Amino acid sequence: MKSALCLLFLLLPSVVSTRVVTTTEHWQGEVRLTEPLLIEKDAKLIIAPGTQVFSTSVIEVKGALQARDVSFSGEDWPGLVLKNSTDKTVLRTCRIRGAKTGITVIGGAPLLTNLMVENNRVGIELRQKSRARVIDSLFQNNSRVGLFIKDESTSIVRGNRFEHQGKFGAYIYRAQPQDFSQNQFLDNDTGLMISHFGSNPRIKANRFMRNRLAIKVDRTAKPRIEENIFEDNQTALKLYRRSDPVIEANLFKQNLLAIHISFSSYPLIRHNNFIANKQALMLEFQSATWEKEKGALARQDQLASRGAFGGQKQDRVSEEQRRARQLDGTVDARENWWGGDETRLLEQGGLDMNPAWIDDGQDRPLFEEGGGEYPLDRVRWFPYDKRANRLEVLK
Amino acid sequence: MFVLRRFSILFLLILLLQGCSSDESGIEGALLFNQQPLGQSRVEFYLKSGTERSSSPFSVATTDLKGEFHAVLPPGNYYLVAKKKEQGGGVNRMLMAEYPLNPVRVEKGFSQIEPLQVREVGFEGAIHSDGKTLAQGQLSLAGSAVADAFVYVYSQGEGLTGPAYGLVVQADEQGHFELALSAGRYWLAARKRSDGSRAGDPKPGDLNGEYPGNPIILKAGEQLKLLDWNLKPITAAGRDRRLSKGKFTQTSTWLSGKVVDEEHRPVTGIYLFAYRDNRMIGKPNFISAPTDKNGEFKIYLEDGGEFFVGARSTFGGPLEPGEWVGTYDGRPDHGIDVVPKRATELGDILVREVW
Repeated sequence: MKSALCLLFLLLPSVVSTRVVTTTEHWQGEVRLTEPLLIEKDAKLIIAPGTQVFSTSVIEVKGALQARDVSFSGEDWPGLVLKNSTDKTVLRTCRIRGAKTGITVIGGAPLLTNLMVENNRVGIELRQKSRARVIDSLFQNNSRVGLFIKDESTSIVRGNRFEHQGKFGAYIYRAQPQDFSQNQFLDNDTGLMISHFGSNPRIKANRFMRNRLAIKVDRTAKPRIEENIFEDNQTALKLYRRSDPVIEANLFKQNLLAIHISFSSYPLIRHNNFIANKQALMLEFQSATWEKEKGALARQDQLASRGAFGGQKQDRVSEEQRRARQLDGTVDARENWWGGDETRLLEQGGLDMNPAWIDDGQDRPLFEEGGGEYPLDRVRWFPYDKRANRLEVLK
Repeated sequence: MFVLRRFSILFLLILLLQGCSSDESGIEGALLFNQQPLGQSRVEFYLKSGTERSSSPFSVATTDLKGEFHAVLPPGNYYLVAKKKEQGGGVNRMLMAEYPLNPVRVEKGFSQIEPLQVREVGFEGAIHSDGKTLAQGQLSLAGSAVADAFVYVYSQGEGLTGPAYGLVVQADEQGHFELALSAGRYWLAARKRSDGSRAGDPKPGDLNGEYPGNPIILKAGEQLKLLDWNLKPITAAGRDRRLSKGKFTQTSTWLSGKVVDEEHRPVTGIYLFAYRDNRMIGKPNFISAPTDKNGEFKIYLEDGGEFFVGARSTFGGPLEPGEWVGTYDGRPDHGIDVVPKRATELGDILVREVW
């Protein structure tokens, strides 16, 4: 009876006032919300397929929300907030549009699947150790970020497509999704950002195409990037500010630049296939000598000068955690397949060869920084794989 | 005259002999910074506590390369303060700490104090763990465990709010938490915001509470089990009361202006912060309410003088990607001179998103 009354109330054409849902409610038809809605902890909101929810206010769910084939939209509305949701909260084939943050997931483990998340500022934000499952969804035209994963969230992010995001397709900030695979990043400014110490996810079997920058790794993040396809991006992978990922068994094909390594980043690059990239590797502001002399001080200055207005310390990561472990003036890119023609050139040229597809200290021995000159590191490319690696992702 | 001179020499001899005797007394200990010995630092000994002390210490010692000091002092109570100014080589900072177990009683012989951790001034954070000193507790609400609340550890006991905490940990799903500390005196507060965030203005319905046994005092190696700690919900009336007091009090001296983005559109929900300290770090002296739909704000000030003004979309905690941030740029140092009992218009304050 109570549910039926609620349904009638919501179907009225007039504006729904501020409401707290304390039991089970069913919605269908067209629902307009102009005041915040709270689904209490033990309450449940079930929205029937075909329902259209227009909102100017936040929809906060502490209990359970079940929605299938539902459209949530508004003009710069706050969005859905799911707090500590269990797997009883399921959004399936829903469309979320026009929000500041389409869905904010705070803790919990809701299932978000086959969604269309578009034209929001941020599509979905996973916070506070969320274990949400974001699966087979489409993120498009969100003005800042499609999917923002932070606060040590250990979510599952699988089979999604990220297209035309304003800044980032997905952003992993101090988080470690337990599964980040089989996603596609197409035509984004930056496909995937992985930033800050503590961000060590495995990025596996994803496809990155036509992005300005496919993946950026920054600030001591150490992901494992394996079995991905990078194709037709301006830059496939940019390593920046002490980022030491493992880059293994990926395909880099027809990118303007496959891997850009800068500012004391020391990756391990193994068993990748580099095919028809304009440039395979490029080093910039990358010097073991600089790192030994100035790395720690530069990071300290950066911390002191960053922050909101002055010296607000950014985190509690020690220099011991940040420092480079091996500084012999080289970047380790042994045992990779550099392409058919390139391999023939390597066989002819021998160890003294300076591969044209690698731009390093052999090409530009020194760079200037802070009034001093520092030797640019070199890439260790020998031994190299003499045939293309059989990559799982290509099967 | 001759008698007086002879008496003075005798007195000096007695003093010297006293100084050389094995009965000498004093304080000895060591300073640490980031768990490393801190040499060439100044250890000051005062006869009065911070609020009462004069500008000059009674005595001063310097630490050796091992960070150790050995100060000869007559019997009495002493308040220790450690300081070191580091400049040059890309570093410019002040390290400082007041001994948390002050005063130290000196009687016969040398009183050995716990190793004293100094901290960088302005970075009130960084309470370090010695790996063996712990405090453990449990958060609850009306007898039920409170999961995922944040516990903040402060090294000063005044106003346990804002970003001046030295350590923060999050309770687990059973409301249990563990603080890895070192010997010292600490004040604890806990909060659980309904939006799950670690920092920011607590709202009605959020849970809040200061530890009933504040301050806690820990010795090196101690593992302290804390008392029952019940949090309470913040009520709208309580929040209004808090906002009407202290740094939120409405006064006749204020700064006003408008927060805009790079396209000069008003930005709502931005807090303005006024600092006395030109470094603009730690806890602000005055905070505005969030900007309204027109991006407008007022920061009420207790008095006039020089203030340094910044703007952020949250308060407390480190900047995170997606936050709005900006400063008053009427002067390069973000400062403004404020005349008491007058409104000062700052004009537009530009904020930008940080990614």
